[in-house]
Amino acid sequence: MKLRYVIFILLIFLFGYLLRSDLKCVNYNGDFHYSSVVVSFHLKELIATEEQTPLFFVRFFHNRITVSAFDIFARYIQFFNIFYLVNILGLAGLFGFLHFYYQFFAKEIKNKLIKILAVLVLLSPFLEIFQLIGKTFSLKMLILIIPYQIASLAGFFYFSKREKYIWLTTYLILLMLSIGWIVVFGNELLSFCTTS
Amino acid sequence: MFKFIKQNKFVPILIVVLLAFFLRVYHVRNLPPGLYDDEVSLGYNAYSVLTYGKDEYGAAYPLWFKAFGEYKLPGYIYADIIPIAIFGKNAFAVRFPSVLSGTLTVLFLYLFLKNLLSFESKKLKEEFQHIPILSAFILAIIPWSIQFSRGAYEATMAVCLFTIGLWLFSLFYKNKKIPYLILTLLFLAFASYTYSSFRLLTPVTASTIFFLLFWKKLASIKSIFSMAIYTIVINLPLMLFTFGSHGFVRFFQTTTFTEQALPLSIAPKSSLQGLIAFSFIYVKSFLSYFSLQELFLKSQDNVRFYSSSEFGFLFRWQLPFLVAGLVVLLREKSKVIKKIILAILLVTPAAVAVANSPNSLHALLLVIPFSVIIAIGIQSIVKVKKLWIRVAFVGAIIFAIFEISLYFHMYLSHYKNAYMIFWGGAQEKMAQYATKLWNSKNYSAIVINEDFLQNEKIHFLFYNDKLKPIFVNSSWQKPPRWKNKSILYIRYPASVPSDSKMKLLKTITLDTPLRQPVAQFIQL
Repeated sequence: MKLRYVIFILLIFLFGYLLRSDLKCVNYNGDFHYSSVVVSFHLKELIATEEQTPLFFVRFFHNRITVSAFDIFARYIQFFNIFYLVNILGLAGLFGFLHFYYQFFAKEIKNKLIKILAVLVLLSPFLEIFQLIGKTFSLKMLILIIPYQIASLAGFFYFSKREKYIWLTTYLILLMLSIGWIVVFGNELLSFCTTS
Repeated sequence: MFKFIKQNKFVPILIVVLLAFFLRVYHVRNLPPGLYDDEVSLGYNAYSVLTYGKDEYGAAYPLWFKAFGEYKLPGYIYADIIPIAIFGKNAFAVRFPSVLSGTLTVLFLYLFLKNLLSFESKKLKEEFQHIPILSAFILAIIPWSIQFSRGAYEATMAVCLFTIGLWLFSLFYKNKKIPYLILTLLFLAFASYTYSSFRLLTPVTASTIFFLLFWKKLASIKSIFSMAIYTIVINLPLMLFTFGSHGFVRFFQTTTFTEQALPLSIAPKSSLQGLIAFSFIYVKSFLSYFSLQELFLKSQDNVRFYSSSEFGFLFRWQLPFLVAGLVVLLREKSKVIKKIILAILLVTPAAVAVANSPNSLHALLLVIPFSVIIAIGIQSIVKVKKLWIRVAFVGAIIFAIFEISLYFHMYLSHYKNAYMIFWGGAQEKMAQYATKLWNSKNYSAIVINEDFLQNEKIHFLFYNDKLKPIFVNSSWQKPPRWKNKSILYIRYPASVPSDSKMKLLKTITLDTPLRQPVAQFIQL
């Protein structure tokens, strides 16, 4: 059996295990969600410190549009937080995920479906940021975790197609490290989600 | 004007360096608001060496300065002697080496990249021709660099010395002249004598240099051997210090390999289990330097590391350019630039991950690869001729202008009020008021309760070393032999019992709208 198939199967097992342990989550925590109340509060906080600034500048710098945009940015990058990615993909999966986006941005992906997947993974966090995906966490996993894992598998697929044996061995080592990570740190996704 | 700039190639970098200097020096005396503990320690030791030839503990011209239970490296303190001699003992003089280093790093990054380009193929040279100036510009305006150049941080100076060392090595690589190599190794050694992280980064760099000298046959065996001896000699005191009893104090204070770092579920029963668990802690620390939260948002780092509550270490508008730059850099068939930038990007966190991570000060050298990668990203996107990308680029530039303006607005208007408590604004005010009272009334002694006013000693030494206060804890009571003497007692604000013989003279508050009380002056 070729090494790449062994790694591919091991990756699927890894993702399956991670998904199973993620089922303990009920919802993503507040860091992932946009809240107009938080934005209003933050806006008031910013304006309160502008005692002597001319009104034009206060309005120019601290308005609902800019504060909301910054808030959405902060929520969005939570979905690409390196530790969030390690927890849903493992270290080996993270490597595949990064390689997938390298291939995507370097325009080396020709398959249209894979291109659509890349765009979907980049856009899907907005559904959760604005809480448009209902309340079932398994549905959230289907939209927000499984596509990441597919992207990672695609990344590995592109990687293993061209790269040398030494890199496949590196991948195997990363897989072992992923298992070690789970043993040492457990399921850290619980720090990104609520459990009750 | 454009013709003038085209004809005089030094003009763009001159403008960028002047901009970098302006952004670092503007109101640096008051912003950040006050000198914090480490800054006054650096400043006072420089002043003490200049005036008395001794450090604060009386050691003559020491190579290691005792401070706060550890030992400071000498680079910044000796460099600060000249500004203190010229400008006097004040915040501007203490921070000046940092301001200058932050500015010079911009210049030397430009020169270094210019030199590296000469090793590249004609195609890449043409493609990357604006990268040196663009990288210098990004470094000039990046919050990470600005924040650490405006406070007296040894790391800023070490990064500058290290960049000069890299530039000198690129000159050696080009010209094969030994004096450049001598200077390279000297500047790298200076960097390790200035900031702790470079005690790890410099040996890695020096080893790489020696490997290249052998592998590429850049010098004769005799010269390489002489250089190796020279490197050992100039680094010998530092090596002896590092492997001596004092050298590990800092390591043990900041190391990430503590039992507290282990997850609760892990209780290593053997050293092997512990070793395995700690190797994963190390990987986690390493990865934390690539966390987007850490880079773009205010994270869990030291609050003094941030220029504002709204900003991280990089601007938000730089994120797409960072991604684009990384892709281009990985894809390019570059001979030198790619290897060097990626090496700094990976080796820096690998070296500093042994300490509590992420720590943006330990990893300050990362500003170099990030600036270059962002510059590459900008240039690569500018070259794309698709309409939607051009529109998006214009949008990004408009957002960049807004975000940069907001950054400086926040820094100039909010920073003082929000962050004064974390800097030393209160201590300066306390020392000044104590001096005023001491000069106007006949007190026998100044007594400071340091239970809540820690590290006051060094602040009083810095602002007025003639006062010589006595430091006590909360259980202290006026001794009977001082019964008829008037004592000035300074403590953290607390209620004064009406029946006591304490006379509250003044409560010192911060110069912020909230006017938080920080100290009481009491006459006993």
